[in-house]
Amino acid sequence: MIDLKRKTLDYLLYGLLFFGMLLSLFLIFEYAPPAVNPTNNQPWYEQKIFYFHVASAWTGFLAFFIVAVASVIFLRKESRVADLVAQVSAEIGIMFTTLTLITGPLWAKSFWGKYWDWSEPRLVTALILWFLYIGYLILRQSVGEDFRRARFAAVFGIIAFLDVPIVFLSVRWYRASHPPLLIFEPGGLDPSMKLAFFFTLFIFTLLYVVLLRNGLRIRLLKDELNRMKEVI
Amino acid sequence: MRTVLVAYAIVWAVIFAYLVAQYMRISKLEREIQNIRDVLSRKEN
Repeated sequence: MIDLKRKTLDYLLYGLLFFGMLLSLFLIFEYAPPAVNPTNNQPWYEQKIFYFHVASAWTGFLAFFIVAVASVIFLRKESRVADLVAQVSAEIGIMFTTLTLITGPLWAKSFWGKYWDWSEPRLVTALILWFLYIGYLILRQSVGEDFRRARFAAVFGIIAFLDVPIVFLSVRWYRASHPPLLIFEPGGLDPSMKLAFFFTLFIFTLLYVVLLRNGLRIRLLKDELNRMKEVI
Repeated sequence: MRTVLVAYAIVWAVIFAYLVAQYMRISKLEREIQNIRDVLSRKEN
């Protein structure tokens, strides 16, 4: 009965994601008009990268927030599940931050005429964030006793999260060319763009939930399988 | 614009393929666990 419910939920989530992905493409490329490039007042088709870029960044931040929360829970309760959630969420966060670091320079090229600018605080802090969580995963793979390693990783996961607000606020703190996110301010996105943006954000968040759920299930099943093999 | 659309579609396709691969891995692990459970219950009987 539980299996049946779980399978039904799986199919529902996968179906929602599949059609959501298609609808997101439709909203971005058909429904929302292209923005106007401020440098030459021409339609700016590369701006469509924005939807994917910001949604990836948001999902990466969410994933790292969950790493920090799960790490706090692990340190308080020594829960194996919390430790696994932190690990899986860090992997997903790195995947989405990688997407952000790929889509960002593609968008930048059409606006600044170059892929990367080392004087841009958001770019540099985002790259540091990526390296921090790569370090987190390396720490988790390092040799040593499991529990001790998990505690180190949890502390590291909490400290690394401090870079997330820095990435977000860096464009407000320093003079930067990277545009801040102006969704609700006057002169921000028009209503059709807002719809495409928030729907894509929702689909990315759902994708994160499904990836986390799957990743956690795989690790818990592996744990159970190993325990059973030991019994045999 | 078409280039951006194709890039989007490819990324979505890769992500969805990864999700399907994850689902297949979960099903395989569940089957393995069920097989071991069956063996253990037969042994007990």
